[in-house]
Parts: sequence; C-alpha cells; structure tokens
Amino acid sequence: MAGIWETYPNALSLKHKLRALVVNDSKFEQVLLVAVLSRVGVETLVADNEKEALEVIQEGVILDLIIMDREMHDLDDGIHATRKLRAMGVTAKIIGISTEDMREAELEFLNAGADEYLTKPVKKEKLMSILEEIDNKI
Amino acid sequence: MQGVASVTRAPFPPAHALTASFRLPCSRRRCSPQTLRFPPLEGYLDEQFHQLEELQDDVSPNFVEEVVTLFFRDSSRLIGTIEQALQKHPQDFHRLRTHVERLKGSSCSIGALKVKSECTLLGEYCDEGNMDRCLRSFQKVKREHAILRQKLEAYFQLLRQVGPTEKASGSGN
Repeated sequence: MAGIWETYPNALSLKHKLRALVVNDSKFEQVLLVAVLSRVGVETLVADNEKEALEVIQEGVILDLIIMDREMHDLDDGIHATRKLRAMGVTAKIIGISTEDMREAELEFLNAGADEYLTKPVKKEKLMSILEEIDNKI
Repeated sequence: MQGVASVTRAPFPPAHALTASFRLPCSRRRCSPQTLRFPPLEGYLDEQFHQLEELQDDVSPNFVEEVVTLFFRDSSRLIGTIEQALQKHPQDFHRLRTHVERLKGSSCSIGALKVKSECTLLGEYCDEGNMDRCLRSFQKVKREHAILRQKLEAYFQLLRQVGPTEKASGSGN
C-alpha cells in the first residue's frame, strides 16, 4: 500500500460506505468530482440542477454529503437549492462551491445552510479531509 | 431509482477500492506530471491539471483526454451562450455574468489559467456594465480557449504517437 501514498497522498480508507450528491450543471465538473469521490469508495449521485437534487431527496435517498455548485442556470441557484434542502430537513453536510473568493459569497452560502464553502478548483485533499470528518462522526 | 434524473456511476471504469491488491501504475510514481514534458502547454495550465493527471491510471487510461473533451464540449456551449447574450439589447449584465462565472468555474476546475484570467476580467466588465470592454474581453476569452484547445489536441496527439509512458521496473505495491 506504500505506493498509493506516494502518488495519491490523501487516499484514505473510509470505515463507512458514504453516499454523496454532486449538484452541478456542468457534466465536466460532475465527472471530475465523481472521479475523485469514487476513488475512495464514495457512492456518488449527480443532479444537474435544483429540481433534480430535490427529486433525489424526495425519493428517500439518504446522503452524507452534498456538493452544491453555486452557479448553475442562474447565479445563485446553488444557494437557493441549499436553502430548499435544509427546509426539507436534509441533514447531510452541504459544501457550497463557487469561483467567488469573497467572504460575502461564503457567507451567503453559509447563511443558506451550507456547512462549508470552497472556491474552485476544489482540492481533492480538502474533499478527503471532509470525507474523513463525516466518516468519523458516524 | 425512479425519478432521480441522473443516478450515476462514473462514466469511466468504476473506481477501485483501496485494498491491498490495488496497484497504481508505476509510471505515476515520483514522476513529474506529463504536461511538464510538453513545453507548449507551459503557462496555459496550472496545478489543477496535474491533479487530473493523478486521477488517470490503468483502470481509466484515457481519463484526462476524456475529461478534457468534456470540458471543451461544456465550455464551447457556454461561449456560444455568452456570444448570444452579448447580442441582446438591452443587455442583461447579471445574466451575462452568470454565464461567465460558469465558464470561469469550469476553467478553474481544469486548470485553464489564461481562460480563467480572461473570464475574471470579463466578469469585472460585466459588473461595470461596460459593453465595449465586455465585447473586447470576450474576444480574448475565445482566443485563449481556442489556443488551449489546439495545444491540448497537439498534446494528446503526441501522447498517442509516443504510446504509454515508461513504467518503473520492479514496482512494489
């Protein structure tokens, strides 16, 4: 296993099978996030927009993590979706992501109910540490 | 799962569990990212692209090229959308900004340095409501996007000609 750490230094072994939802209208960004998450065994669903994200929840899917893009069809789609998900009682960890590297953008997401805010590009090391944190809390 | 629009499995070969039998391709160990060996890409891609390369392995041997193809598909569509939006009168700068941010986001995620920088400027001009500057800046976005596409096409063509990278011998696991 030593070789893994040399080239994928943040590879981790999760104790639990986690499930994540990537909410992003960009197929390219969906694929990237799915690739990173699935590398560590996280079952990953994708939704192209708020409506599809809500459908996932309404289907009764239990999620551990939601990665929510801010800019989808409209600039604040992700913030709106986050607010909706929290209003529905979703307790999964929600990570808001955006290009805006401003405190204001971060606060908007946090005030909507996100747990964390990351600016793009999302570093896999940060994702790994978030997954580890979720895993340890179960 | 009825009603779920996109229950996905990764579009590429599924991820491998990190078990003792998992092997990383030897060529990926202690190697500089491949793009560093292709000078024409210098200054056009940042560290994020190298992170993509780290996701490529024997199970997903064409991951980078496939992801790049997806990026250009997405981003070309966005550029078309921005182009159409710029032709609207009166101009909806807020809407335009949304499209620019989406393009910038994708550019960030692939490590497209110059495209990202030009998008940042274009976003600022949108905020200013300065149509002339938006138009000029958008031309630069398109140019950098086209240049990057050409360079990456050349890069992948070269990779196909060269074949798989050398593998270290006696690789452990």
